Amino acid sequence: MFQAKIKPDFIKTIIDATAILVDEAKFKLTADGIYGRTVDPAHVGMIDFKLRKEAFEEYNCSEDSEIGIDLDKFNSILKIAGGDDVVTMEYKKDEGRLIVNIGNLKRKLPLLDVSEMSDTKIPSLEFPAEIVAPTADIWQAIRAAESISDHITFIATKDNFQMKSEGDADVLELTLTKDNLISIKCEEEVKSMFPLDYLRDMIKVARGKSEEITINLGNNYPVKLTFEMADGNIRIMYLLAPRIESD
Amino acid sequence: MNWTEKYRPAHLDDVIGNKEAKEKLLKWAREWQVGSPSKKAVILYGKPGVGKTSAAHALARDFGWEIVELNASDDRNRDVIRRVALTGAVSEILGAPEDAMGRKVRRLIILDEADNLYERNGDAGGKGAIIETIKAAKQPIILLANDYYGLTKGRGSELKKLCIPIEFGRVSEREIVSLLEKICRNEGLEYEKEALEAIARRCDGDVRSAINDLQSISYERRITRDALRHLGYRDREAEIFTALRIILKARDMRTAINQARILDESPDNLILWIDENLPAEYTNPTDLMRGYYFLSRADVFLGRTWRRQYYGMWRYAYELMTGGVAAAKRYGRGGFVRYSFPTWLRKMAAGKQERRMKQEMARKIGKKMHCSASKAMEILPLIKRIFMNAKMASLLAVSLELKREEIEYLAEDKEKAEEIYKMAEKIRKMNKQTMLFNF
Repeated sequence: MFQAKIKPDFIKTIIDATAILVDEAKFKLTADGIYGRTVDPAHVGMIDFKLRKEAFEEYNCSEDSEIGIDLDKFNSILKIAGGDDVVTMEYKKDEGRLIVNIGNLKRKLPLLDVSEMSDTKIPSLEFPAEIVAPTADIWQAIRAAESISDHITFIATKDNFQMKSEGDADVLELTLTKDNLISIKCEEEVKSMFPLDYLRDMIKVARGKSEEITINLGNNYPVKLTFEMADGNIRIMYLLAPRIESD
Repeated sequence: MNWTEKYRPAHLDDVIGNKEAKEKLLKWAREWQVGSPSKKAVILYGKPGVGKTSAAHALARDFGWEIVELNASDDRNRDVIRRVALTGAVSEILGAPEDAMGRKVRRLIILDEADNLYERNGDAGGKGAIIETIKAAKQPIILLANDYYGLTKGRGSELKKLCIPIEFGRVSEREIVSLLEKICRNEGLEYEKEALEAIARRCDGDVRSAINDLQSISYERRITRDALRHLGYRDREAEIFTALRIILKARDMRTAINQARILDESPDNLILWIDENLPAEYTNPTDLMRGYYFLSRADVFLGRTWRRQYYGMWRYAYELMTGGVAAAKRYGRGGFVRYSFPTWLRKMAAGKQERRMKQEMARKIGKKMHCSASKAMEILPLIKRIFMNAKMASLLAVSLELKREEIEYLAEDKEKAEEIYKMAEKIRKMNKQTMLFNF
């Protein structure tokens, strides 16, 4: 038996954050909260989120279970909810549907078969650099890069974090020095190039909800983006594979 | 659980048959561990069920590669192929890009049934997106197809230059039988070896259908020749005999036509059955003549269907060979008539194995002698003469890479074939060693 009440904005963030990678996802309902981990069909982007029970108005989960959600459908219900509404979710094991209440509105959401959805493992990675940067600055660089190219390079040195995008003739650079950053840990220069479309979608989720983003970087290595909201009770982690620059 | 899944080979070594194809695939994959080969993609092509998909998956597992797969069940238009295959092909994997030994870890992109994509005119089609993907690819790509020609015709002709074609042929009966034996032992089934041989013979080199056939008669826990009947060959014959009786004895066209509809047999086959048995049923010469007139008209439509590849014309063939033939008789013949299996089909089936083997040998000879397979077929009897000399035969067997059963055919004698085979193996081993030394 699972029953929970939550602000629509919180649950919507989680659904949106997952929907940039996939159409359907498996969520784990546990006594401590809701967890999810999914990789996109191209195996280029991964999300791992934790929605702790403290983020909920009320939370009650007597037994662990897994539910499969059609994210588009869920989103269409959540759209109806206003900022002041509260979303109630109920699920009984083996019932095959999630009951969502918004005000007096009641919607039965059919669930998907989770036996067909594989478990995703987080790859073991070691990152030589860690940068904590203001979300707004990162977002600005991404937006500016979009008109130039379809990828962007992250470069970290001992004291700077640089984002660089090169088009046919145009070059765009945004450099954040130690003073502009919240923190930077980096022994020697590392750099990796990433697809802009994925990165844009990921940073967009954090924009306006989390002041800062933690970026873990390596040399031609995946990037890890982490951000928190609701006093750390919602935590979203993205992994993104780099583009291969040369043969 | 489905046995074809349960016994899907875990390693490339476990994929039965197609030794040469597996070696080619392995060679290409090894190049990916140290760098980027000039051909980014391979096309594995061949009949269904011979191990193409299994080989691709087993390869990825052996090398510790990640798999991104686009199946026929996915809606594979240009956008989906670009979003999944192209994105995957230009990106590193999500994990550490090198393993502990410093070899590159790859993302293998597998496109199942690549000859069966969503196609529209021009750039919107799936083939265009595949070509674009392969050109940009920095990760290995495997295309799977039944029909190499269908895949590489038209817009797909560029694929010929971009990919290494690797053919997967039929798997030999011997290998299928030994796999079936392994499965039987593992499942704790009793079996008659002859029954397994019959299954292997019938599946025509298709391992998947052999395993499926085995599973479908396994419920009695005993695999016997008797149980094989459940698989339907005999039943099918009985069904056709009944339908044939109704068609040939019909008093009106509709009955005959409807019967053909229920029967669900292709008109190319049905016409053989009617042709074989018409004289038995129509004893009046005028009736028989008129019956054959309609049958020949039906055959004309079958020819047109074939030439124009327009299967809408099958219906005319059907109606002429059933309704037409039924309406042709003025004097019906009462009583039971014994029908028989089409002679032509029987003869074709009997020589099938041998014909295929001869063709395969002719292909090998043609390759070495720079002539066509049909030209090589002409000199096959001469090779047979040479095979009377075991020493020369063994040298030939090595250079033509003949299989054991092919040697047996040419030598026309089991013991002699065994001797030639052993000698050939020795020579092969020696060649291999000298090659190693030269290297």
